[in-house]
Amino acid sequence: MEKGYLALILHAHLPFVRHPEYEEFLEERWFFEALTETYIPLLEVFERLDNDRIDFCLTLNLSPTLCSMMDDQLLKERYVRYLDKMIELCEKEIERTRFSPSFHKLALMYYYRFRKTKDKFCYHYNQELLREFKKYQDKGFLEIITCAGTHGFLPLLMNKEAVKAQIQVGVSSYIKYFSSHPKGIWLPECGYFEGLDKFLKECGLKYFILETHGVLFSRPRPKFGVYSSYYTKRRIAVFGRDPESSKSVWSSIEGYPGDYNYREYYRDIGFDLDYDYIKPYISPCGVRIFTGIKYYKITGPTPYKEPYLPEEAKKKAAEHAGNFMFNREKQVEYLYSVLGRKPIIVAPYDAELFGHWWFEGIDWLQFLIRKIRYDQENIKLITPSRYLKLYPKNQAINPAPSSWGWKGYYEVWLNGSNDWVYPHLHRAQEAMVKLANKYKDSDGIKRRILNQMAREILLAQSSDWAFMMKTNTFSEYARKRTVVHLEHFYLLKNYLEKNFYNFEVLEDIERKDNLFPEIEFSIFQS
Amino acid sequence: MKKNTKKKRESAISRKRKKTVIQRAKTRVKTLKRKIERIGKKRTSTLYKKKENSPLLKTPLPTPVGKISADKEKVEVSKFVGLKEPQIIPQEIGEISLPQKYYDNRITLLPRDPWWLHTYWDISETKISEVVSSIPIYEREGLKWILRVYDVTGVKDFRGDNANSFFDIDIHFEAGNWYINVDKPERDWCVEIGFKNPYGKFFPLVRSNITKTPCFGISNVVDEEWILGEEDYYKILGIYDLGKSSLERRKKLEEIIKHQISSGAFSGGISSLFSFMKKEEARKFFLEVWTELIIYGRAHPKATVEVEKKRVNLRSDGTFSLRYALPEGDFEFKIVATSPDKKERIKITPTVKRGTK
Repeated sequence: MEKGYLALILHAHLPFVRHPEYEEFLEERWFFEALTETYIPLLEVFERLDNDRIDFCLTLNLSPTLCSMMDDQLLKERYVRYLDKMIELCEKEIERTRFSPSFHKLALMYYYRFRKTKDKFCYHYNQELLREFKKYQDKGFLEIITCAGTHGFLPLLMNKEAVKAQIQVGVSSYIKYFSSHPKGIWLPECGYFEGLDKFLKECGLKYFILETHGVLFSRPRPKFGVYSSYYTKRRIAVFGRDPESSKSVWSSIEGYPGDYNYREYYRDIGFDLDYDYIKPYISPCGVRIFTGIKYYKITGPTPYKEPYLPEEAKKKAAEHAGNFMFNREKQVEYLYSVLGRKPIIVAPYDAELFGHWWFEGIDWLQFLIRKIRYDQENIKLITPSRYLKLYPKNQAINPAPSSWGWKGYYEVWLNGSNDWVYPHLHRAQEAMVKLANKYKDSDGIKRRILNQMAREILLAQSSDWAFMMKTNTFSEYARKRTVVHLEHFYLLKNYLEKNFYNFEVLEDIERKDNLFPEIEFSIFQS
Repeated sequence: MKKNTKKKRESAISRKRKKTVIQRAKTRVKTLKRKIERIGKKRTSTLYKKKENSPLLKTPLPTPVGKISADKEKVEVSKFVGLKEPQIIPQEIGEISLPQKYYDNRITLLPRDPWWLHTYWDISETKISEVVSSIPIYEREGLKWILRVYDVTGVKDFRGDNANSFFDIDIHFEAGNWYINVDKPERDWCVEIGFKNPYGKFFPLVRSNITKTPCFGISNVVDEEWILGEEDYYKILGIYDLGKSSLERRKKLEEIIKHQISSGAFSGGISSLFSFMKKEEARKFFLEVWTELIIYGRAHPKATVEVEKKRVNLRSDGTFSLRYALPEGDFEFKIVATSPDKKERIKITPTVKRGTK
């Protein structure tokens, strides 16, 4: 009989990046790479586990922007084109490495991976990835949860209509793709502020997940630490992240991903190979980038890297899965003896950590799920909603405002690099609310304009932009995106108020920022 | 080429734009000064001197890249390390651009963490002159901009004079925003921006919303229905040896937790595809050399050519070229061409020796 539970939660999200105005757009590769390295491999793992009749009991958040991209015809076409190009590169690599056996094997590995990915995507899944994920949810193996519409960092939006709109869009996008009401929500960056649960309740959500101290610092003191569910005053269940299990996976130093046998992320042929040779496969304007083809293992704290050995790495992944399971067993045994109820260990991760960052992470996950099923009896996998069925009676707490970002609060999204965003964003939000009230019965072109304005506001709110400005990665792109969406917003506002519009411009904006086609601007009404 | 000129043009435009912003700011400062001179007997020196010294407004729009916050602590790093941003979205629809200022006379207060708040303001000249003109002439001298930060915890209807306490901060009005260290978690705060004269008299312009700093630390409040013994409680947090007295314990616990949170032991600080591992340290001086071998040639366009028994695709003119990574060692490349009718064969075998001195 199990003594406690492990809830593995994966948060899959990318900001909405889609640029039909360009033939090829570098930032769209984020999506293509995540598809190849994380999302499709995850589906393959699900398929194998399903074939072996293992209930993998995983919680997965697919953010609404990610769903929109997975569902987008243009991006699908471009993804196939991308895969073809990668296959072409792999073919060249197989030839080029013919007299270097250790690299040759790896070149073949990548070739087969890309080929297999293309087959899966085009023929097996028929380019409908969301349907595949839904399939496992319908079978009861997977619990898909939603996220705020464009992953806006809710504690800094300030405007209650804006917060409500983010959540409502998250819910309606979910219903569209998964034909049911979401049970849980992944709060963007686990960002919580006092009173947020009210909006969650209004949208019919049942639970959310917080960073460790979001639960630990609750008032009154939460009896079970982060090892149980709680209710907020409005009876929305809340779970807190377990720091121990997080650290062993997240930390690049102490954690598993730093093992010397694992693949080295930073050595990539995009940077290593002769410029003329690699040029057709890097960024359209000739800047070297990561291609995803990497031949070395971490090796050690040295710049001199040795060739990657997939079999060795796989063995390590199995070993690490065993170690992770063992530690959770011990943890659960101990907690069970102290708490007097079966503890839940909540272990959330960014999905892209697996496969993309930590190449062997997908294997690790599969080993872990299989080992838990067959090698022990102390722990069982669980989803938050199943845990709530076991323990419907919970302490009521007032969770603490927090986030899972660096330093634990809001600073990542509010500092010298990105604070300029808020005066614009807050005012635009207010303007949106006013207009949504004023033009509430509009139809025809006015309604179209208002709906597009709602999309633009939502896009400008993505926390990803502020995050990129903070980490100074693609910050120029992030700034442009923030400004462009607000500019679109004001342009459309102008049309609306002057009752004079350029139809072509409106169509052009609609065509570019085409997510959430069913959106109703009325979500911004107060 | 086209791109380059476009970029140049863009930067010229933005320079122009910057210039106009500065000019506008300057003219505004001038007109303001004149107004003030008219209103007051003497020039209110401190109030506007700062503008003279720093005519560059901190425009609310994009701060230059690389001017990222002064955080010296490690920044979690991106996936796209070492990458410049090659693609820039051009201004898609001309003309419209975000307002630099809104002049809507407001100040907004945001929480940043349990100890810090952030505020931004945007105030019109009319409002400034309105307030200045309402100040008796003899009190106008030496006015300076301040933020008055009120602790309004538990205050039901804050009117400006019924706060629990307050403190003032000297500010640069042009900065447009400020980070405020209140150092007190779980309190309600409100700020006012205004003038203060040397006699300590305060003339507020606008008041902010009320906001609360997040709470910090494990609560003392215990729910009777849900109690776990202190000893056990600390253990489940993975914290031992806290000391004997409960006060000592709490203090130590708080320190540990504060350290854990700020060092990222609790929060991974990882929050998207763009960040995970630490960026690799930039290497100092180094040299790396690899070698590749190119074999190229020409045959009858219809011939079959094999290199080390692997067929090579010929271009329509019969040329071919092959490229191999060349590790250390001796290599032979047996190249065989067979005529279309399979009657003739030509064999050439270049050899290569690659070593390193």
